[in-house]
Amino acid sequence: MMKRHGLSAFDNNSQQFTELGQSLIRRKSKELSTQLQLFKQILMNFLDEHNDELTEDLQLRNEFVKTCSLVGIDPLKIYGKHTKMNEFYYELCCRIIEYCNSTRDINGGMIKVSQLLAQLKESGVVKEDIHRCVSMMQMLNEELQIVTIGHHEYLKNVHIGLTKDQTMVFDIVNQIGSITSRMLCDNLQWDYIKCEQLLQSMVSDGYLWVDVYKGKVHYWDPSWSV
Amino acid sequence: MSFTFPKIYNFPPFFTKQPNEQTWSAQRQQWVQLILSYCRFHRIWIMNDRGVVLSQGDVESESLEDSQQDVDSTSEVFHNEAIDRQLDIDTIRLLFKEMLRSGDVSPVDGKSKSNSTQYYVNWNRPDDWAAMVLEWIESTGQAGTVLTLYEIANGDLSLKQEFHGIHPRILEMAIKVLVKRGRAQILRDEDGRIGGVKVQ
Repeated sequence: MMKRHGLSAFDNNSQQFTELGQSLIRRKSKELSTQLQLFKQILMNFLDEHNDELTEDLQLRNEFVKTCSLVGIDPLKIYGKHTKMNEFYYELCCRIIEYCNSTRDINGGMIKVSQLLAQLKESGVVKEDIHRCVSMMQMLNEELQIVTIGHHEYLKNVHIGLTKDQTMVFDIVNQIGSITSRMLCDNLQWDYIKCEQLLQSMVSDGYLWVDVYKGKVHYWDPSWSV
Repeated sequence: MSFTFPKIYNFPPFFTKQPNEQTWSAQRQQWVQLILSYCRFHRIWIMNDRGVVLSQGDVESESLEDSQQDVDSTSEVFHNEAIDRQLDIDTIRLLFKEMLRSGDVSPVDGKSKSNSTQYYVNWNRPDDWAAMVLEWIESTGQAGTVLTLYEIANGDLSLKQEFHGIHPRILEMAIKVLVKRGRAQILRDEDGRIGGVKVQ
């Protein structure tokens, strides 16, 4: 190819410069992310080795947690259950309350424990942890309870208690997703009007969602939406 | 790559306006979020209040606006065929009214704000578009030069910008933001239309 002179000679060069620049940036960011990974690893090792000191020395622990959160380590991981720190549970309590509050308008304050666990899956939280947190928090908030309906556990975060009838509706709706007034009265041999009123009251409490489909009204359990 | 709908899109009651006011407000938020992210993904500029897409994708000139296909088919965002559910027109209207109030859409017919039936969907607010255009003009050394709207939206220099192919009227809104801030001057042609913009 003929060597180009004048201004046109710059055309090709600028392309090469861009490529070079980009490859430098790529290499740099790869190096940094490796270093960060390593640093995280070292922090976690430090946590294992100095567990006792961290448990006793509050100041040290605070500094440590601060450093960890700077590099993006989830506090729930730091307060792993193998340490003696209660903070794991404090932190978990906050997460539970946060999640309950943010979904309250969707489910009326009744949340499936399994849904909560799915939400916290990454932190390795198990059902017993949630039970423990709930019993810790009951001192502050008596409304918070775990209720078992059918085969499912729910975390209840509303002050109104469920009636026996409502509990039965919950049990049925949970298994099949949705229900109509007719189905309810066929299944439980209740009066049609009673079924209708019961379902509608559960809608106004925010426990159920309405689905009008081909002229029929179906009542749905919001936990099927996630 | 196709748009990933949120899980609630497959939840049948999502397509019925909830009678419980509190539940409805949560439902409404989910809808607004869905509409905005859907429009962002498909680069939808204009929708009418029946949920029909009127302008989408890279817009080369305003004349494209007239070539609407499927005038009466509601966008799939409001119509989930898999579960055979469709949000009714009244609720869609209500959503657009709400989005108008919060600035998530702007009326196409600027004067009659309350009874507009077509809306620009602001998946980026005019302020955001303005900031992008400004940054691009500054970083490409075009400050102080006169640019046509076409050059900004469709020129080769802006190929990699998010605003490349932007609907000209939305670009106008963004430019007007810059004018208000004293960062841009509009030069009009004989017909009173915007001929060029000078940003500094």
